[in-house]
Parts: sequence; C-alpha cells; structure tokens
Amino acid sequence: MLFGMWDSVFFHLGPIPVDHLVVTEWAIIALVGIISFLATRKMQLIPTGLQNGFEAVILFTYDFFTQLMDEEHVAKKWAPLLTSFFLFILISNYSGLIPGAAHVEGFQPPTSNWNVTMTLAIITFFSVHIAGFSEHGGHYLHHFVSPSPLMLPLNLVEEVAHPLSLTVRLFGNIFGEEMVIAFLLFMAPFIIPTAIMGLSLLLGAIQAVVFTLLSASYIGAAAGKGH
Amino acid sequence: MTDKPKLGWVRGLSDAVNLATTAAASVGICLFAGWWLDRRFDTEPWFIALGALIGMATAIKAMWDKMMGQSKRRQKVEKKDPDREN
Repeated sequence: MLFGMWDSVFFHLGPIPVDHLVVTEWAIIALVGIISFLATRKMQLIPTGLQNGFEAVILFTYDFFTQLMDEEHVAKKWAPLLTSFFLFILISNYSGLIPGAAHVEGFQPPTSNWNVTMTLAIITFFSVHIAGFSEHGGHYLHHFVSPSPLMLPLNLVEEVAHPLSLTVRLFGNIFGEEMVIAFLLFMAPFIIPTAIMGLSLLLGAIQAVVFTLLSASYIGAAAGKGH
Repeated sequence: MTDKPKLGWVRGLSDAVNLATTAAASVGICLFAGWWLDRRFDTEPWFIALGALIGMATAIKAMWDKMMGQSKRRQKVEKKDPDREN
C-alpha cells in the first residue's frame, strides 16, 4: 500500500479510537521528552555533554527569537513553545526517512497529514492573540480597525490567512515529498529514492525552520510596539 | 542579547516568506469564499470577482504594512546609531 493511505484505528482508548498517526506523534513527543530529561537531569554550573548541547541550543534560540521579535521579554516568554514546534516538526519530518517508512503501517510522518499541521497552526493562531492581549490588553483589538475601520475585512482575511498558509505549506511539502519517495520506491527501488531522501533531509529542516520562523514573526508582530 | 543587530537576515527571510505566503493565502481564501457564495446563491461570477478584489487588496495591504514596518525599524536603528550600515 502506498504512503498516505493508512487511516485505520490502531487501538481504542476507552471510547476514543487511536490511529497510527497519533501513536507516531506520541513516540516523537516521548523521544523529545526523554532527551530533554536526560539533558537536564543533573544540571551543573559548568555544563558537559548533553546539558552543554542543550544550553547552546537554548541560547541560540533565545538570540534568534530576540532578533526576530524585537522585544527580549517576548522572545523569552515564547521561545519554549517555538523551540518545541521546531523540534516536533523536525523529528516528524525526518520520521518519514526511517527505512521502509513509506511501506510500513504507522510510520508516516505526522506532518504529512493536514490534521496535524492544522492543529499546530491553530496553536500558533491562539498564541498570537494571547501574546497580543497580554502585551497590549484591550487596546490590541484596535489593530483590527487600523488604520481605518474600512480595513476590518482585509485585516480579518489576513488573520485567517496566517494559519491557513502555515497549514497548507507544511502539509503540502511533506506530503508531496513522501508521495514522490513512495512512487520512486515503487518504480526504481533503492537508487533514485536515496537521492530524494537526501534532499528530504534538507527540505524537512527548511520546513521546520520556516514554520517556526513565521510563528515567531506573527507572535512578535502581535506583541510588538507597532500595535 | 540585546546588543545584537535587529535588521539581520533572520528578519529579512521571515518578512519575505511571510509576505509571499500571506498574499497567496489571502487571495486563495477570498477566491474560495467567492466561489462558494456564487454556488450557494447562483450569482456567478459576482462573488468570485469580489473575492479576487478583496484578496488582492489584502495582499497589497500586507505588503504595504511590511514596507512601513521595515522603514520604521530602519529609522529607529539609524536614530540610535547614525553610523551603522544596514
């Protein structure tokens, strides 16, 4: 069976059916959680090993988001969410590169399903408005009628366009890429798909960066002094 | 962290991707809404034409906002440090 065709229920959690995609997501969340736990289990003043690597990542992300969002306190507040987005999306994208992933039930990358990308985009959507209200209070609503109340429809369309663009871009790229790999595996096993899989490493990272970058940009804009 | 330049490649890349995707999504949403309304009320092609106009207007407004935001930030940086090259 080709990739993207699995939608069977893996097991039931009480009355709730749990499909393979959800199990893959849980595995990714557990993997990130375990690595984070191991890195921060025995924190030392002079870091070594995993703690050292994690501190470098955290410092890089704080710096990165501070440049992007202008306000350091906003960047510090939202960096944990954005970094989690990045790690989750990156590992999700790469999970499709596990040997046989296109043919084995339950191994499809969660980001190749629009339900997952839409969920991530909805989290971003609400985060943007929470950031806006927490920084500006009720005055945040003013930006919907700025610079004139006539702009309200355009501002509303723009607000809806943000999560839609996040959803479709991530889903489209990863789903399309997986379909190409699955098709090539079917047509010419091993040789040609390997090159595409190499390219997937780059594309997976780019998509994770772009999603995180745009989420940070939207949050920064809502929380920024421009509003 | 606060001493780092604020108009670096990160912001440029973010603005470029943001603008491109927002423009495309705005036009897409409005066209879809127009198409749906035309089918619902049998008014083809009025709503889809209106949708195209609103979508394009939103894209142009997003572009205008970005340009103004960029210009404001540049002025702020130049005021702080007149010798700095961006």
